[in-house]
Formats: sequence, structure tokens, C-alpha cells
Amino acid sequence: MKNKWSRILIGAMGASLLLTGASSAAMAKAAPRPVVLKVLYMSQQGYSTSVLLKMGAEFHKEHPNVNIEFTFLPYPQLHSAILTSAAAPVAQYDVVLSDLIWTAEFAANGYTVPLNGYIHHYIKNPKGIPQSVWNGLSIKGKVMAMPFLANFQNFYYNKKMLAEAGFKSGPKTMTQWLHQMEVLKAKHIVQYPYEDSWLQAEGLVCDYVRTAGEFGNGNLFNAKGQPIMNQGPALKALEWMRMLYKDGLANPNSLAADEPTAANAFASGQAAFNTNWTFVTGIMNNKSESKIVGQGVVSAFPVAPGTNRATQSASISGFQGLAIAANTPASLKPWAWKWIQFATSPAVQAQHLHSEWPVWSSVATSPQEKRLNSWYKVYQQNLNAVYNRPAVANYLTVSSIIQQYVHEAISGTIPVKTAANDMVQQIESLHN
Amino acid sequence: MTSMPVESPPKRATLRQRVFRALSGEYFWLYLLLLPSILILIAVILIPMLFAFQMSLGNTSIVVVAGRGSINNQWVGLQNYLSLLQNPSFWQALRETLYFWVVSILIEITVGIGMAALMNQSFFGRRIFRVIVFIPWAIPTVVNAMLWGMIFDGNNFGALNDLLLQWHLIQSPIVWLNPSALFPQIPWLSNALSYLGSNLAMNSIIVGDEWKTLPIVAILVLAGMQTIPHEFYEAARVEGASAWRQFRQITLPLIAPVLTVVLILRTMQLMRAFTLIFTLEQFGLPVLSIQAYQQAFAFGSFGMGSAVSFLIGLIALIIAYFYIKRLYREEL
Amino acid sequence: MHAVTAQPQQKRLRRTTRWSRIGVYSLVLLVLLWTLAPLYFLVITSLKQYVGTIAYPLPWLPTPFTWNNYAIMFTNYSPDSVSYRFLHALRNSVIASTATTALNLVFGSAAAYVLARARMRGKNAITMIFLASNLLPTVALIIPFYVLTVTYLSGLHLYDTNTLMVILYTSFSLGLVIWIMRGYFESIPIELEEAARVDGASRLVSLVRIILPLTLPGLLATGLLTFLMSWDNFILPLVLGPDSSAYNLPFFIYSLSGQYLHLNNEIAAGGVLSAIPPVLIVLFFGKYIVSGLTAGSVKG
Repeated sequence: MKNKWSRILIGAMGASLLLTGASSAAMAKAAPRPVVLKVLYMSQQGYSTSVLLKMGAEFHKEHPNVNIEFTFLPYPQLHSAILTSAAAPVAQYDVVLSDLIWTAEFAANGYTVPLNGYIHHYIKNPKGIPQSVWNGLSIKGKVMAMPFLANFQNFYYNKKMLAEAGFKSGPKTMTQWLHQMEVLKAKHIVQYPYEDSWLQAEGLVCDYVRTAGEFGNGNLFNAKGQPIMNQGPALKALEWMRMLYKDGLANPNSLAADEPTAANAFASGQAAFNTNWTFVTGIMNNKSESKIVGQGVVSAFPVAPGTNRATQSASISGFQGLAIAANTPASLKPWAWKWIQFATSPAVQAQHLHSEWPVWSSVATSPQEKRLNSWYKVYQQNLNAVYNRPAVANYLTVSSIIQQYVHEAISGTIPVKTAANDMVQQIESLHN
Repeated sequence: MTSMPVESPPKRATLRQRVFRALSGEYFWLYLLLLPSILILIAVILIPMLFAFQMSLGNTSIVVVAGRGSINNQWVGLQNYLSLLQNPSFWQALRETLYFWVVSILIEITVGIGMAALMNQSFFGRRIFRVIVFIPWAIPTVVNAMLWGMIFDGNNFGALNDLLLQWHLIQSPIVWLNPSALFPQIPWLSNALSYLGSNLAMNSIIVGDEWKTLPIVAILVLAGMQTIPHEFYEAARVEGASAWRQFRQITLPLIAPVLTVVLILRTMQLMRAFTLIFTLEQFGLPVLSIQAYQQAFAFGSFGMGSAVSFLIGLIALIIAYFYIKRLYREEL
Repeated sequence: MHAVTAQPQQKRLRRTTRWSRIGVYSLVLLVLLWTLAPLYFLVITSLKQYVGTIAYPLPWLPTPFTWNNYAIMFTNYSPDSVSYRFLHALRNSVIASTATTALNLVFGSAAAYVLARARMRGKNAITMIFLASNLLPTVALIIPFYVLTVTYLSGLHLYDTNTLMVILYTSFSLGLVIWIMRGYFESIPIELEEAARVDGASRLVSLVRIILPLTLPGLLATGLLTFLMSWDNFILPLVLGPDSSAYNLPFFIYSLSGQYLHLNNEIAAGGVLSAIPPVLIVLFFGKYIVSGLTAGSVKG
């Protein structure tokens, strides 16, 4: 904004703010210091904060002149904090945790810088990270964030309930899965065999994309960038979700549940199936959090017959990378990269990421990981079978439209076909 | 209304004299007392509002150019407002906001006055009862939201579902916080209610909100009732007026000022209600303030967000104007 | 009244009073149940282990019992602990609410005095502008303020500070304070003040010596009300202060329901702790708050 009027407004505003005594905070940050790298990360229950702080301390030991200052925010606040930082002349956070769904947006608006140069120079073996992970964090050949965590969904089932219903193993195909749910319900083993996170939020899009993937293709946009929710697997997915809800196979609470709530239901023995992020593996066998210790099984996702032949599963990606803010001062950028390289290196990951899946195949298949995670083969299978949510620059707007219509289609306020068409039409109208 | 008699300054005073008088007179100090508040009003309310208005006329986006972050504001005139007014989801949000306001206010007037009348009766333990009833109002809104989130949890271990299941009032748990249509068996009613912004989640949230706010309404109304002299009722009883007529003709007119204050306070709270809905539904129940927040802080379009919030402010001010006009009828 | 008709009428009256007694007491019980049941549920949930919150049937006593949800709020203090976040939130809540209350009382009551006493054209209009500024949705102000704070005024480093929270809380409650305090000042007879001025006291002295003591209940009421309002604020830290240097208790409780499990027992414990100060205020000073809020409607 460059006109005189607004400058006057802002000047007056600043002056009166100073008058009301707002300068104390400004003074606190003026003293010269060694290099301070400000890092934004997500706050989670449990491990991640302490893991990051330990990594920071180790990095400081290696580079005594560099202090890492962490800010931990809940996931829903992360995106707006990055925007906040990008709007300031000088970045508030030099290194930010970037969710893969923001990749296109950050690239288009230039909030973070492409890391290709650094990676080319400093990462000896980029192939050590699965291509699916690189894909999620890159757009048009530009790598916008260095992979940090490979989060994705697993298929969880309760083997005790399945055994009661007469099934020796979990479903391999969608038909089998449907059959198992119907039997579980008919035999009153569990009132609602399945609970998922269909609250009108990002988690719903993940489940929708994944279900479309299970039917053969989880891409909601075609190669030309046109939305295709009203045809093929995406439409089948919508019909499937609606059917599960209507027939009482999915708990109606799914419509108000986020991922933790769905995990709660599974861990409390109220659901035989749960499709959720990897954190459920830890929860289901933890006595203080679960009533189904020893009953949970991690498995590949059932897929429609004849689809997903290469992977025999279909999952959804939730990768996180570390990115350098574009408005980080040039003098800090090399340090920002040094930290990223340190935090994402195989050695550090092997040491710290016990409850999350490392991005490096070498770490993921190490004897240590095999010992820690008895499900590692399934994990690898699901990781290789991930679909990504649409890579569009206005993703959050698109996502809110998808959430709205998918939610309405499942609850039946709009017929599935109409919802799918409306969804496509609304998204198309955004681009015109 | 009382005020100080002040002699008007002589008209022929020179500028110097006038300045001297202004600085030395007590009125100077009087206005000085007003100054900080006026400054705060200008700096923290008026200027940001003007700035927001300017943004609402633009297509605002955050851009980083040559390593410096900034906000790019491209003038688009009234386009944000026009596209809002053409967007059905804005109108749905508006109806939901108004539904939330109307139903809450109706509950507060009826149940609130009822509770006040109850507290005005004499019964054993009345004093402690009044104190206990007040407690929910003190519970912070986020805590209240979390509490009702647990009560309305849609699993069978949600508190309300657990009770209803144990008492065999329902067969399967109800998802209280899902914005599903009411009375799905009767399509026309269901559609009409959905159109008006009424759905299960909305009504559950109103219940949770009323738990916190009914006490203050009831207690303020009670305070108003206590100022009514007892003789009024005795006189009415002598004339043989029924309880209802006593209420209509004595109680209601005399608690009207208090009620107006309560309604003003509540209207401003309800119009901007955000915390309860956001913590329980995120963006699933998009009343206007949620929409404004989403536009600005999720989508990063501050211009559109400002436009929505201006419309909320406008509606709140229109409603408040009628209350305030009533309140200050004798003065304005 | 004739003696003939008096007896049955009295009987009827007694019967109706008995029925109305029963009616009153059952309504009282109903209201008590409605008020206390959720509170009871909150407290028992805070004393349960996690598995006790996801069990069906739900235990209506705190089983399996634990104090741990409270203990974690105070022990094992380290930068990654719950207690770190809780204690920071508590500190910020106390600082911001107290400072806001003080500023509001000083600025607000000064302005209210002028607006009550001065003969000045448009003072009703000014009062209304102040009140109207409080009618605006918080979201409406937070958007421009956010943009200003993070861009044009970013040199002031206000983002994520208690200073910013205090400035905003103050401005958001000032209108209400002025409105209520003006009602108080107007209810004080002008003659009292004039009498003091006849004795030679200046207006300022009479304000401090005569009027302020008389408005003490009003100051207490508005002070407590402001305190409660800023204690309750959520959207400001959500947008402008989500880091430990500025977030308050409501934000802390919101962030407890984090990415992974919703640990309802911990959330409940945090909720109980953050509700204690406002509940105590209401229990002990409730009647001042009520008189403060009604003062705005009682015209002098």
C-alpha cells in the first residue's frame, strides 16, 4: 500500500501506541547477540517437543555460536503463524515446519525458498528418501521443504473382534471389508464397526482422498488441473462413505470426530476398524490410553479389486518438511540450512524419531527400527502407496469447499451426485 | 441530568487570554482526564477500523518480494462486498448468526426471567442458592466449550449419551455436535429449519452457551426485581389483579431498563460469538465471525475477512441502536 | 369479607400455597441440578485416569482415581512439559488481566467522570461511541490489528507480547467501563461535590477525596468485570499471541486438546484450575458485579 492517506493513518497509529506505552517490548530485543535461529514447530502431546529441544541442544554443542529458539504451536495455528511471519519485513521464524498441503501455496506466493540448490550440494544420497515423500514436498521440480517426518495413514483393526465374528485376518479388498463390517454389526459384536474423522476439517479431505485411492485413484484433479470429484474413483469414494454412514457401519459420530476422537473410539473398543495416522500404533498398546491392548493390528489398506496393483494398498500422505522462510535475512539462511540438514540427517533421525516414521529408508529399514517397530513392513507398504492431496496454490480454499460438500454428501443433506457436481463447479469458479 | 453551571467565556478575550484561561482553568484538567481514553479509542479502535475498511475494498494478499515480506493491497472497490452478497453461504451464515442470536435472547428473556422470579421467592437456602446459580457464569468460555464438548461427545461414552443410553431413552448415541438437520422424517420442516440456520449442533451449542449465560441474565433481572417496592404488588392484589397481570403491569415495565442493558450486552456477545463455536466445531458451523476469521487467517484474504467483519459490525450496531435508543429515549 | 365464604377460601389458599411451595422447591432442585451436574462432571473427569474418560458405561465417580492431572500442571518443569505451558499461561493471564484492569480503571473512570459532569455538547454521543466501540465484533478489530502489528508496526515487536494483549484488552473493555462508571458518577448527588468545592477544594481534589470513595463499589465492580473479561479472552492470543510469551489460560486449555489424543482428564484439570480465580471472584464479590452492571441502567 503506497498512498499518502494510509501512511498518515499508520503514522498516527504508531505515535499513539508509543504514547500509550508500548515500547518496552521493543527494547528487550535490541541487545546484540550471537546467531539466533528462530524455528517454528508443531506442538503435540508427548514426544515431539522434547525431541526437538534435545536436537537443538546438540546442534548448539556442534555450533556454539548458534542458538536455536523454538516456538511450538498447535497445528491449526501453524499456517497462520507462517503467514504472519511472511507478512513481516523480516521473518519472525527463519525455519518453519511445512505441511505438504501448503507446498503449492508457499511456492506460488514465495513464502519459503526452493531448496534444490542446497539439496544438490549437500545431500549425498537424495534417493535415500522415498520418491513419494519428495513428491509431496515439491512442486514443478522445486523442492520447497526438506522432508522431516513421513506421516501417513495406516489401516487398523481389532483382531479380537474380527475373530469373534469368525475372521482370521483383516480385509484385503473393499468387498471383504464391507462384508466384515456387515457381519460385525449383524452379530452385535460392535454397534458401529468403523469410526473415521469426518468432522468438517482437513482430516475429512485426507479420508476422502485416501478412500478415492482405495478405489484406484486418489488424485482429485486431473493432469490438466481440472477437478474430477464427480467421476471415477473420487465419486465412488463419496458413495462409499455415504453408504457406510447410512447403513450404520460407520459411527455417526465420525461426522463430528477429528483424528484423536476417532482414535479414542478405536482405543476404547467402540470400533473394530480405524483408518488413522501412525500415532494410533503407539496408543493402542499403551495401557494408560487404551482398553484394547494387544488386540490392535496395523495393516495395509483394503483396495478395490484390480486397482493399486503395485502397492496393494492406498494411503494418504501427511508429510512434514522443514523450510526456510523467504524473508529470512541472507546472513541467516546458511545457518537455517545447516540446522535443517542436521535435523533431517539420518543419524539424528535414527537417534530421536522413535515413535514416528523416519524419512530415510536406511533408517526405516535399520535393525534398530525393526526392533522398535514390529510393523515396519506394513509401514513401508503403506508409505509407498500414499496419495497426495491436491497441489493447488489456493489449497485451503479448495479444501474448505471439499470439506463442506463431502460432509453434506455423507450426512445426506445433498445427494452424492449433486454434491460432487456442486463441488466441482464451485472449485472451477474459483479459478475463473 | 445535572451538570455544573459554567459562565461562558467573555467573547472579546484575546487569543492569549483564551489560551491562558484554557490551560489554567479547571476545565483543562477535566478534558485532560478524558484525553487518554480518547487517544486509546482513536489509536486502537478508530484507526484500525479505517484501515480495515480500506482493506475491505481491496484484494489483500501477503507477498514476499526480494526477501522482504509485505502486504499487497490491490484496490477492487466494492467487489468483496458484492461477491459476499451474491454468495449463498454468506446468507446461510447470516441466518445462522441471527438464529443463534434470536433463540438465545428468547431463552434468556423467558427462562432468565423465570429463574429470577424463582430466586425472588422466599425458600429455605435462598441465599446460598443465589450464589451457586451464579457459578457457571464465572467459568471461562473455553473451559465451558471443552466441558460441553465432553458432555455432547457423540460416542456412547459422551456424558449425555451415556445417561440417555443407560435410561433407555435412546437406542444409539446421538452426535450432538454434528450440524445435522432436525426432524429428518418431516422433510418440509427439516428443510425450513435448516434454511433458518437451525441444526442439531447449533442447538446443542446454544444449550452450552446458555448454561454459562443464563445465570447472569437471571441475577441481573433479579436485581431489577428487588428494586420494585412491595407496596406495588400489595396494591395490585387489593385490586384483585391476577399474578400474570401483576407481572405484565408491574414487574415487566420496572425491570425493562435492566433487561435492556442485559440485551445490549448479550447482543454484542452473541453477534461476535466465536470461542465456543470455534473450539467445538472449527469451521463446521460457519457463523459470520467464524467466516471472517477463516477468510483472514486461514485463507489469508484479509480484505474479504474485513468485509465480512464490517457487515457483522453493521448488523450489531443496527440492533444495538434500537436498544440504546430505547434506553436513552429521554435524552437523545 | 363474609364469614360464610371465608373458610373455604382460606382452605383453598392454604392448598394452593402448599402446592406452590412444592412447585418452588422442585424448580429450585431442577435449577440446582442443571447448574451443578456439569460442574460435577468437570471435577470428576479431572480426577480420572484417561481410560476412565472413554469407558462405557461412563463411571460417574472419579474412577480410576488419580491426582496426576493436577500434579502435571506444577511438576517436572522443563521447556517441553505441560507445567511449563500451564505456568506460563497462568503468569500471562495474571499479568495481562491485572494490567488491563488497572489501566481501565484509571482511564475509564477519569473519562466517565468527565462525561458525567462536564457540561459539554455531544457528551452523550461520545459515550455512545465508546459503547459502540465495544459492540464491534472482536474479529473486526483483530484483522486490521494483526496486519498492522505484523507488517507496518513490526519494528515495535508487539506480536506475541503481553504488552499487545494489554493494549487490546484495554481498548476492548474501555467502552463498557466508561458506560458503567458514568452511571455511577451520575448517581452521586452533585451537591456533595459542590459542598466540597465551597470549602475551597479544587475539582480534582474533590474528585479524589469525595467522589472516589463514594464510587468505590462501582470501581470494584468494573474492575472485577474487566478482570473477568480479560481472563476469558481467547481470540486475541489465538491470533496475536500463540507463543508462551503471551498466551493465556484459555489458549493453553485449547492447545491441550492437541494433535493426538483428546486427554479429557487433563483438559478438565486445566479447566478447573483456570476457573478457580473467576469462580472465587463471583462467589465473594458477585453482588458488586451485579450492582455494577445494573448501574448503567439506573439513571441519576
